[in-house]
Amino acid sequence: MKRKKSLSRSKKSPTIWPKVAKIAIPILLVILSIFLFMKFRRPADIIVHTNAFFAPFEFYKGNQIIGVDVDIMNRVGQKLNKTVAFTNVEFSAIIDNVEKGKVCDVGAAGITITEKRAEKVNFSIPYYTSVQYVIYPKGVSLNSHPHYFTWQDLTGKTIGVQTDTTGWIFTNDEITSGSLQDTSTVLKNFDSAELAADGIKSHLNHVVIVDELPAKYIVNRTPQFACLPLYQTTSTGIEPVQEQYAIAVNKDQPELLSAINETLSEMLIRDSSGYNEIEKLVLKYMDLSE
Amino acid sequence: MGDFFTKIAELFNNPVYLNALLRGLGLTLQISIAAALTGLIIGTAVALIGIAKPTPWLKIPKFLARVYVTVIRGTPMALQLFIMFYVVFTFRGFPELITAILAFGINSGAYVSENIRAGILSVDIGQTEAGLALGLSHRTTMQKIVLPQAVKNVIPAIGNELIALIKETSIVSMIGMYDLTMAAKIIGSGNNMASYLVPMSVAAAAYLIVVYFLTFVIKKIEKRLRAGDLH
Amino acid sequence: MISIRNISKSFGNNHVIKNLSLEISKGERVVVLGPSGCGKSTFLRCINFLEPITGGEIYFHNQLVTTKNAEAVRQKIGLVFQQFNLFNNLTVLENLTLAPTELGLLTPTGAKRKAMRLLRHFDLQDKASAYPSRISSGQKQRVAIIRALMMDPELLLFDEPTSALDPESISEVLDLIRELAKNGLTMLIITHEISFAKEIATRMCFLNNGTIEEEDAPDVFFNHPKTPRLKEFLSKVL
Repeated sequence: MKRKKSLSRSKKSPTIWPKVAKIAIPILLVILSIFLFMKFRRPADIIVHTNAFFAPFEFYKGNQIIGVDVDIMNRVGQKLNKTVAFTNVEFSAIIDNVEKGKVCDVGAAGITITEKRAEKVNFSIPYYTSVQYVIYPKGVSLNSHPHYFTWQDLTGKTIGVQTDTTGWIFTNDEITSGSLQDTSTVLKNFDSAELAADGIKSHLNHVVIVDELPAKYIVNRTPQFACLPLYQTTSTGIEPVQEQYAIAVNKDQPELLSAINETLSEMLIRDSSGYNEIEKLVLKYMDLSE
Repeated sequence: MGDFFTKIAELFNNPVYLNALLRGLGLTLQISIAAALTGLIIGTAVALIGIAKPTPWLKIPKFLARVYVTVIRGTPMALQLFIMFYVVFTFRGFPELITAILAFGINSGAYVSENIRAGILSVDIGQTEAGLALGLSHRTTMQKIVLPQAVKNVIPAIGNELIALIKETSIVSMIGMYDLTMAAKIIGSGNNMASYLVPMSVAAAAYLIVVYFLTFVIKKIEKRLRAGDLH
Repeated sequence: MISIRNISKSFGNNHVIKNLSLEISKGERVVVLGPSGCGKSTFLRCINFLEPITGGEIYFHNQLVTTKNAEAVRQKIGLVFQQFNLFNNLTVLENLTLAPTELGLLTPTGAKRKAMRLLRHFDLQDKASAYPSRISSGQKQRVAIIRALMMDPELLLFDEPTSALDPESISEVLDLIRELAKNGLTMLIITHEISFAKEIATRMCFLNNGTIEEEDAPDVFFNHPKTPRLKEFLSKVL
């Protein structure tokens, strides 16, 4: 991995350097030109950054990234007659990348609209509403209501979340300045929701708070887990802790933003079945990714 | 560019952020030092088993030692960490600090055993011969004469191992432990600075300072040990 | 006291010692001469089983020496090395007291007393708390000899004791050996110091090609050598 053996100082005769240079320099030049070529050729007109571990919105099938977000952006590309390429990156890097606009134009990764994020990028119109869910081990009755969890149910527990997701943000807010303030509730950040869920099995945390769809996937795969939505008390009563997904666009690309909004508006029209196109895609890809 | 430095000032002026970094640094140091010591103990045992004469008693320990070193050196640390947390130590209430220390200690031991082996073998064989010639047993000769001298040879390697561990332990942030890297992740997350560049840079600088300081101390220790060797 | 019968020692295909026989009785001082690289050092190391022999037998007080009783035998046979091999991590005093105390032959205080007495006798008492790296090579070798003496050996083996010394230090070490000779210590010495050999030996041996080719009283050995190879060797070194 990273162990370096200490280099022994061998005495090289002075005449070896010209030979080394003759081989090393051409190789370096070749590497340099490959590097420059890759860096400067644009693989497509529209580059989308995503984190392909968030089914059904984006996930790997073999080597390909597919999903709801992929279909949406491909539709946008068709509308503008431009090519679209998708790159997988760390979720936490996406907003910064879109803000800078150098390595990508768009971020489509089931991103939740937040104020802080909106300062850096332009968001499209929201296209999906997701509720925060709580993953818990079956047989452990933490919830006071049979159909949902409240924040109070989690007092004093260790809650696992995925770093820099809205689940993290909401839980952290609740612990630092909300109803879980000054309780012994602990927050634990994992690099992924799966790691957080596995943490329950290893007694690292009691529950996981994460978006609805990843929660349902994990629970489907893991018979000893179940999940329920998370509700909070507001001035108007008890409601689900929810958020809206939108697509993040670099602030210097207004035409791209309007094209995306146009596409989304079309896809959000409900037809006779009662579903809009995006909801249908969600269902379609949920089946596919099983 | 100026924006970068303003953000750095912002970080340093925020006591919450500074606290987070200190807390993270504390855990990083705890795990690294404890793991280095664990690795030293395991590594010495493995090295001694490897060096000892092949008696029938030692067949199984020697084989196990070789398997241990091969497997640990042949698999990524991240996987070893996951296996320790998600497969081995899954008991209710088992402190995760201990799991982490064991994971890194077991990993360190496999690498360090080679250094210790070399350190022992590099002690002049005349020392062993003289001990045996006086009628002392192999064990006493090793304990009282060879190992104390091997320590001198081995200290720089152990020092380097500690430095490697300081950096290596950053992967515990993937599974929820609050080390220096986790502190940076939290400071950079959406609710706080909402940008990773600055906290990551500051954390990197912190790692660098710690490593530099340790390197300096180790060199000093080496010098003092060598000072007794003037012929 | 010691009966070495037809021993051989090979390292793989390299037969360093072939059919070597030698008897040493109490009070004798046997000096071994020979060209370099013929296994003289190996021979000494075979006697106290630091190197196990691959053929033949060695009897110490009529008891067969094996790897099992070698440790006990080594307590009675001392070995002084060409490179001194003092324990670098211990002081001079600790070098002397380590073996007797570890083996239970003396109590720590008893060992210390004996060590200081010997050091005083050889005028090395002010080096007692010094580390080997701080004393001269002549002093190192003398300490090494005293370390062997602490065990009250019945036989003391010397492997070219002065070959690694600078010329000024050689005489102090030879003086020490002379004194031991006067006290009747049984010795087997490998050396290149011809005049010293002539002076101190009760019997001379010529070790060549892994075996003892000639064995005589000193004056016969030096003045009327029998084998041609010994003659040739002596003509070169004298």
